Amino acid sequence: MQAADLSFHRSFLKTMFMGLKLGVSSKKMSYQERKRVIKLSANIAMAVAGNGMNWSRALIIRHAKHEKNKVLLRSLLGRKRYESITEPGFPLNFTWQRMIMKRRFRRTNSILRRGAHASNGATARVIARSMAKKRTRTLKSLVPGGESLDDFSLLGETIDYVISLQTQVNLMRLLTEVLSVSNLRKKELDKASREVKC
Amino acid sequence: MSSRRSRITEDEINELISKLQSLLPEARRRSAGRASAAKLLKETCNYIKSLHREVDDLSDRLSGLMATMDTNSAEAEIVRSLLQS
Repeated sequence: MQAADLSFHRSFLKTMFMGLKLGVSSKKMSYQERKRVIKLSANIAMAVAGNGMNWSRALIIRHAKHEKNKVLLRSLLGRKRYESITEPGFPLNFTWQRMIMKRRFRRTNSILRRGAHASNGATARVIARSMAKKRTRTLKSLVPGGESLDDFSLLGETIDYVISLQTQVNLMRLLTEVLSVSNLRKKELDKASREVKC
Repeated sequence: MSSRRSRITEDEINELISKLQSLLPEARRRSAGRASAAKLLKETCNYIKSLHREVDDLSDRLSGLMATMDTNSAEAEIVRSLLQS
C-alpha cells in the first residue's frame, strides 16, 4: 500500500470539521438529519481531498443535485469552486482524464500517466481479456463517475478511490474514538460533581 | 486501427491489477486468488460496498455521540487541535 498521504488527511479533517460546525446544530436536529449532514460532510471532505480525480468531481456533482445539500456544499467548496464544478458541459471524459492523470502522479502508479492516451485496438483487446464485462459494470456503478470511463482509466480510478475510502473510514473511526473518550470523561465529571454535592 | 506499438501492455495492466489486489484486506485477497482478474474485480466491488457500509455505520455512531455536543464548545476546540497536526 502507498505511504500515508498526510496532506489528504489534513484536507479531509479540515473540510469535515467545517461541515460539522456549519451543518450540525444539535439542539434542533433530529438524529437522522444529523447523520445525513455528518455523512455528507465526510463525503465532501473525501472528494475535496481527492481533488483532481474523476471520482472526486463526480461525487460532488452527485451531492450537488439535491436541493438541501446546496447551502452546505457552497460553504464547504467556496462559491467559485462550487459553480465551476457543477457547471454543465464541463468535460467529464477522456481529455479531462488525461489532464488529471498528469497531476495525480504522487498517488497513482506512473504507468497511468502513459496509459491516459487513446485506447487503440490492441489495447482494447488486452483489457477485454483481463476484465470481465459483467464485473466492470458493477464496478462502474460503485466508483463515482465510473460510467463514462474506459476500462483502463477505471482501474486507476478504482485504486485511488479505494485508498481514499480507506482513509475516510480510518479518520472517521479516529473521530469516533476521540468523541467517545471525551463523552465518557464528561459523564464521569458530571457524576463526580453530583456525588460531591450530596 | 491498431498502431504498431501498443501503448498499454498487458504487463502494465497486470501491474495495476496487482496494485489493486494489494489494497484488499488479507481475507479478501485470499479469496480473490492469484490468477483471475474477474475474481479480483468481484472482491473489489464487495470491498467497496463494505467500505460504504462502514461509512454509514460510523456516521450513525457520530450522530449519537454528537447528540449532546455543542459544536462551539471547548470540547470541539480540543478535538480540533488534537487532530490538526
